[in-house]
Amino acid sequence: MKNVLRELRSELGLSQADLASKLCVSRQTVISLESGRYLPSLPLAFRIARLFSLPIEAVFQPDEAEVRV
Amino acid sequence: MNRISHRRLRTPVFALVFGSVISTAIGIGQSWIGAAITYAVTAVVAGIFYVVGWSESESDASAVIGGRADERQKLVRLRAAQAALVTAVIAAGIACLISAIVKAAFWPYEVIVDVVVVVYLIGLRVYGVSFPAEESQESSDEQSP
Repeated sequence: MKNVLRELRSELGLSQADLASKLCVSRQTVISLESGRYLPSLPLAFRIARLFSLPIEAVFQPDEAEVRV
Repeated sequence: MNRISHRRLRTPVFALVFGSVISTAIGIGQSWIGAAITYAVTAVVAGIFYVVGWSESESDASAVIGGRADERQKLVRLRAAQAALVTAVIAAGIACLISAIVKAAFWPYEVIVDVVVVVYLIGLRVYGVSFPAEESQESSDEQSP
């Protein structure tokens, strides 16, 4: 799963700590999300998407193999 | 604020109470010198939990022990607990084996392993979905607007 969280955060001029505070998570979790080491729960993914006023799939893009049916 | 303070105190207080009970049992059943050593170890462990939990450190350990973990840190806590539990069961199994070989009492270790297995099976039943019924096409059609 890829995401553009780092780019979106930079566009808004937010630090990792700022974003963590807005999402009510730790800075380590923001770091893990940005590096793709941690996949957020659906509620957190929706919070992230709403914060940037984007649909969820604009923030998180799954690898093709993950969504193949 | 009070609730946060209580959560931060939970782990050190639990360690203190649990260690004190074990220490007292050692004192009553065996020797008070052994109990004193166990009391000291308990105090050190509880102190470490207290310091780590109350520190303003950003570490996952501090958040987990201090009771302020977010969803990823709760997952970290779960994995750490899983690793600790698996290790404890393996250790109890080995202890049971050695005790049986040297003809010492092995039932306490056997109880640990048995309890863990039973709780594991109960956990599968409680947290899992047992005998899921396939939703029939008719009932799903009825529910849909």
